[in-house]
Amino acid sequence: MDHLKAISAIEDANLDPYMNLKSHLPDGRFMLTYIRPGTGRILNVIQNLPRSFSGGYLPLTKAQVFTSEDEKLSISIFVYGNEVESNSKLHLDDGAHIIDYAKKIQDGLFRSDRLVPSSCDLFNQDELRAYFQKCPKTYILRSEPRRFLKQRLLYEEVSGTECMAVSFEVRTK
Amino acid sequence: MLGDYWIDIAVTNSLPQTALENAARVLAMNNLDIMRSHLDVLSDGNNGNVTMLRLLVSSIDKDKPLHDEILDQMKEELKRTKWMDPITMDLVFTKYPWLGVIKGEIITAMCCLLHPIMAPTNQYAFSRSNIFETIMKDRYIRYASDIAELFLDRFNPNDPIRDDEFSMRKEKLLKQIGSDVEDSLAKELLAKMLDIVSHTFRTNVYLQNRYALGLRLDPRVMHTQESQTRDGPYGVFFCHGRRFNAFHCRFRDISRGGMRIVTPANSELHALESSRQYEECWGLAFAQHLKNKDIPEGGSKAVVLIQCDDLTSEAKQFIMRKSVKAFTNTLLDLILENEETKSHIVDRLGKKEVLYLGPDEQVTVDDIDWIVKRAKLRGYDNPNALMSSKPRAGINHKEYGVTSEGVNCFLDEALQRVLSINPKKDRFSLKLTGGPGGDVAGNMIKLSIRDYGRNVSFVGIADESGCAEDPDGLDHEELLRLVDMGLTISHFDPTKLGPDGSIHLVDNEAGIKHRNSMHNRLKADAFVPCGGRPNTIDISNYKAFLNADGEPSSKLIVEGANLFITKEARKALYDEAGVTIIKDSSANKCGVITSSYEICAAMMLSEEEFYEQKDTIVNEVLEKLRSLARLEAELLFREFESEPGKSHVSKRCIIYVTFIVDKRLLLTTILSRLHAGYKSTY
Repeated sequence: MDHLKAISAIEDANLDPYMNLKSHLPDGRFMLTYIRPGTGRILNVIQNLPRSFSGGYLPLTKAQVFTSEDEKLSISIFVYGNEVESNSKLHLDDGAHIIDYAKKIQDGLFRSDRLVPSSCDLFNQDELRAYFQKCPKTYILRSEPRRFLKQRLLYEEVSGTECMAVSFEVRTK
Repeated sequence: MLGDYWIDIAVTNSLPQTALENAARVLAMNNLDIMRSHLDVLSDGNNGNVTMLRLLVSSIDKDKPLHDEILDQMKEELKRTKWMDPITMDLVFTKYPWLGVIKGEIITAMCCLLHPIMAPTNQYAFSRSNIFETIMKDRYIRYASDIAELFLDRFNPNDPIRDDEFSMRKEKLLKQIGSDVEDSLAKELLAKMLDIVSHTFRTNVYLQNRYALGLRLDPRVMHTQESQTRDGPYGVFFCHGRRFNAFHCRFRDISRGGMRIVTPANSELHALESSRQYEECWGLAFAQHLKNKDIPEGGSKAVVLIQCDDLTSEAKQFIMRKSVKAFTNTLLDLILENEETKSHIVDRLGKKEVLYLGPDEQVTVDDIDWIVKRAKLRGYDNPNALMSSKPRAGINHKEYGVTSEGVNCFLDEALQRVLSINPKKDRFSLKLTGGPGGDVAGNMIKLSIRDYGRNVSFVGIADESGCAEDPDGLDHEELLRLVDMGLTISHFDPTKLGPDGSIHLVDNEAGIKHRNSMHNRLKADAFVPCGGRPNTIDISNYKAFLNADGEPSSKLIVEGANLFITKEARKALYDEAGVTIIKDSSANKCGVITSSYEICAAMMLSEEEFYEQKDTIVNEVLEKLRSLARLEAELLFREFESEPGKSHVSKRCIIYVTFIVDKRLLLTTILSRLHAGYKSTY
């Protein structure tokens, strides 16, 4: 809501959408928001992010970059610091949309869709619930199931190692 | 139009912000705009964390669609970024994108390697910044690129160029450089780069999923005209990675020695350390070689120099652990013989190599564990033998204070023979460098109090955090508390100081001065350096160890730390002030003896068998250590007393060592054969 207010204020004043916002989240985390006109400035924003804060080091734990449909505006949000445990505690139905989708994969419903990962043991309900414990709650709630499961496979590729796994996918409508 | 591609990236143990920035740079270099992005950090249990990135990217140049080849290349570039040095990133992402990531990495590595080779000949002309600036100039980068190309062709596992073709291309390049390059500095540097290519026996440059870039070098390439007369090592490894460079130097095929991490506090110090990194590694390995007189292995050392002055303390710790992983994994790349290495590494050495590592400064128990696990995972013949001082199936040096047991024996003998002090009956004073949280100093405090009780008085202790001084002696209980908790001296409770005691921290200029001069200023019966940088006392500053009347601030020095005093300073202190010095290669030899026994046991026993009998093994080893230290101390003083006036007490020992080193060759062969026999039998 703060972002929308900021954007409408800029629009009303007929200014270039160029703004930096800093907010303190109730649990002690910091959120930095950068609003920029057009596209192509993300690298610059990222390279100028702070490495430490007055209170000491806080890790970057979340980043979200969005570009408007008309490509006139981009919003980048960076959250520093770890979420307090009580906020991140999972409820039983958290991630149900992922488990449902995984079940369909295991049942062979997407067999002909090459964009959907193939059936595997990692997508069994118990395995997924155990994996959820390693994920931030918002990552589970926010993720589109197919995307989450594709990333589950990437995680498996690098877990326990010092490696990096990369996957490309042509964007479809 | 919205983005064209979704890119998912999972990266372990990278600072999330760095992972995001690295990905953004690769994408920008490939003319891709990030339209949307999500970053999350997932736990990976004991292994650390996984940063998960999802990026929607769009090509800036709509007329040039991305094809598979570009995507594959970009995938490789993205994977390399985790391990690429920031200098390489600037070189290939900003300055010369045409170079490509791999050639950029080779050029940066060679510049880093050139510094310690060339600096001894002219430290100003061949400063680190001058080397980089020169090679990366528009006029010369083309030659550097050609040299990197030659390097790649020589080690291309699919079609390595023959020696005659290599010589021809090398000569052609040398001629071009000779005729086209006017700047003599650039000419010398480029010629030396070519020399490095000729003197490389192996490289992991073609290994997929490598962490850093490693070279097994012919040691002759490291030696300048001035240093050609001294003993050359048997083998040298060089490793260049993100924010670090490392050397491993060994004096015999089968050698043993520790790995230390050096983290200079600022960029000036880093440049200084970089210029002498190989010298330090060579010196430490040679000192180790002398020290290993009680075991069949020759001496070795590894020095990992990390650039972390601009990082927060959390990030520094992170980079230190990552550098250890990258360095040791690179060593494994270069010594392992398996399908992966055989198919990606061109071997110009022609023989199998076995390395034995141990912990030294700033190496943690987690590092030790990781190295052994990694060696096991990669199929190293005897993973437990690669790294000593393992906390479970090994004899951890710090836990059992093995190095300090030896230092303490030498101190005991020297107090009696040199100062006529019986430490069991008489009071005596000590000053130490190295903190209560460190291995050697911490255990020296513990063992001295155990053996001499109230007779020992610590008048000063200095470490990386500051120093504590008290002419009445620092409170024993408080010191033991710091030792037990692994804390630095800055944590000493000021209420436990005597009326004339003081604590100085390095967070201010005056504190740094106090800390750096503690070992000179304070009067004590003996000075035991148990930590600190090599060459702290040298020929230019040894007089600071003497009082105004020429008397030394301590008449006895027992070198618990390696190379704390230079050879020249040692001689001057003895000749001018009669300071008796027990050399490092004698005083702190027990650590490596323990490692040798530990590894022999690891070759003969399974991890479980070792663990079951650990108490017995440890007790026997400790007994052996004390007896070996006592034997040598007695020999040294007997020899010293029989020929008073000899410059320092270890001189006789060196003769003794030389004799033993020759005999060791035979023992080494026997050990190698036993090892081979053991492997073939089981």
